[in-house]
Amino acid sequence: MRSAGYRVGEAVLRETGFDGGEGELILVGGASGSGKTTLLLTISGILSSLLGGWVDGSVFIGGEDLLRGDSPASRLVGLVLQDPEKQVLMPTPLDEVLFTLENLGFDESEALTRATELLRSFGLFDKKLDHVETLSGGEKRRLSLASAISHKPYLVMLDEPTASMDPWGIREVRRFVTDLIKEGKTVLIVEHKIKYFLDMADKLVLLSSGRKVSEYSRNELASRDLLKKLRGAGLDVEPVHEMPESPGCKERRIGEVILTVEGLECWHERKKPLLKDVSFELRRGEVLALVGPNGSGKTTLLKTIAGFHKGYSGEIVFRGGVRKAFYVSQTPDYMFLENSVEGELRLAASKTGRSFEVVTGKVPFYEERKHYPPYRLSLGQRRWLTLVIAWAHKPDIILMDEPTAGLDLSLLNSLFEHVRGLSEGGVSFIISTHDPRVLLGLADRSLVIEGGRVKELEPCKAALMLESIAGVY
Amino acid sequence: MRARYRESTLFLYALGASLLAFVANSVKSLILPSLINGILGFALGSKKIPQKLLAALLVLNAWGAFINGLYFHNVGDEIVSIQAVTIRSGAVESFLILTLRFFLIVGSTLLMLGLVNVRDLIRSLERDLRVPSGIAFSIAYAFRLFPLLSKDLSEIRIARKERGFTSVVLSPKHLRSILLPMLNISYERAVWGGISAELRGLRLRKVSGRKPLGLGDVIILSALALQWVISLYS
Repeated sequence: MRSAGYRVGEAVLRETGFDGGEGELILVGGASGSGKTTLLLTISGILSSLLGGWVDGSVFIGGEDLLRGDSPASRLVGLVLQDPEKQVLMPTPLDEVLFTLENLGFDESEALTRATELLRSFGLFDKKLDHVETLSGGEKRRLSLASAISHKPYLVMLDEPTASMDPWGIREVRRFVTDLIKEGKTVLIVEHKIKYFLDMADKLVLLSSGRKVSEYSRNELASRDLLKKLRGAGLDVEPVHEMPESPGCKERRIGEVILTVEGLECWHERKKPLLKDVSFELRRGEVLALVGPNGSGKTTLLKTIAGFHKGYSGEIVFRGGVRKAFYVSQTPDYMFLENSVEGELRLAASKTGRSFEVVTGKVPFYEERKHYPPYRLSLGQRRWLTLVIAWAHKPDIILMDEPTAGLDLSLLNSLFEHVRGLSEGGVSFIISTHDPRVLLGLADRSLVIEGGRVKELEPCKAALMLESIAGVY
Repeated sequence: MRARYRESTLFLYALGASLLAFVANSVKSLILPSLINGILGFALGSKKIPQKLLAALLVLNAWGAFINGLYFHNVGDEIVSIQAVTIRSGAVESFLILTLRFFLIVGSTLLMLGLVNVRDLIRSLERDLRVPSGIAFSIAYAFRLFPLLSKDLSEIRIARKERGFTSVVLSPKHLRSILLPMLNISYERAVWGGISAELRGLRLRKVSGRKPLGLGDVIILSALALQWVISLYS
């Protein structure tokens, strides 16, 4: 790939080339903005065929150039997008898998047989006619995996498959990749949390600013020095138990109790409580992590504390002059109500009585991006902006739902720094997460939700538990 | 015996009924088709579309129709006076016309949604009406989006409340604070939906053969024609 981009004269990818054989896993790593997703869109032909971009280079599968040949990429390639919500197009799982097969001209009865078999092997057969919105996050991910390989492609590509995945889901993706490799497929994974796939990878291609900067073989990847170097490049390479400078569970001075939750039961349907007998306390300046699988009730608990979920019994008592907690959604875009960063911050200042200059001072990219629509910022910048908006409202407690999903190491560190600064100023946090890095780098305490009940576990142990479930410890 | 029909006939029915909503411009000409489609549509389609979304649409429409009537059609005899606000017959008539139009359009769309499977609808549009696959897919994809819109709306309401807005939409500025994030989020979703469809070979899609017209098609189209006749001659 000599060069490729979205607009003429503006190359996003440069001098990037590699190859992969049958039954090989190629990992592509790089920080946010390094061109990883653009690479996938280029290989799959989407950049030039749909997005109006251009490509100077070739993508060969079995001697055929996907970008110029007669066989379009969709026949030979399967791509799993980062967010299953955006990949799933049809209203039921059966329709979803059949959609690909029908498009590619499969005979109706063959397509139905194949779709049914696939749904059975992915554990979705019983839900094949349910609406996709009734599926859990993990089931949607499985559906996206099934539909990506329904036409038996030679190359399967996955775009940050662990981004918003719980460790149970990560274990499923690992198993999926292992099976593909055994079947002789070539697999390409774009990811910055490469620790989840390092043990299976045949090759690691490192991208920086749209350019391939290095390529490492399986043997080279076994070297500890190399892993250290990769960590320096912003990649999450080491499982928790191998991290040399693990901060451990530090004792920090925290203040008085400001929130007491006692005997809380939450439900969406009264007869099926999602959470039972939940009791805990939160202190001023404390960072409390909430851990549990997708669908275990973490978001519901946060929304209940914030006052937005009404299906509950039990007590939620704010103390020490605290009146309420501020909820920050997992999807930052829901928080934006204006068309520019400047507009957002002006709104935040006017609604809270904070000085506009003070609010903008909290946004390091303000001058550079003030006229940008907030939706056009990078994911890390969007998360930062939501945190500043939350802070502007002067809350004593901020409830953050999966704040690190999709952040690379550098953005993660910036977010941690910001949260630490606020917590030292007396703001308390409850953070729902699957990310072991939050437990190790940020949390003072952690609560684990299991079977609808909550138990306290040391953050270090909770982090190791997550890594163990994901299959890397 | 079950009357067979093409899915595309129901699409034509919904399109024809929606067109009628714009052509008919009196309460008298709208009332019958609106009631028929509204009642049948909400009964059949509400299982497929989240009821919260329907309720939100209903409230938004009622509020918009009320404001429109009050600002632009408040003429004629005085009906009621509440403090400084006098509501006249023109405002009430305009409110009723807009509400009936809403029921006719949404009701006929829900009727179609209640009776078809989206994948079959795409196929039928392509096969029977020769609609290009990109357009047929876009129509079908919109139906997948309804539950997502409902979820978006609920999350945006939370964010608005956190940011100091009231939950009641009082002015165009308030309405903007709901519509802007909804449009932006939907736009991003549509871009990725297009990418997903392209990756999965939508461009290569070929559908052959045609389903013959059945008794069901004749009944559906006759019902539409009858509503047009009643509406135009009432």
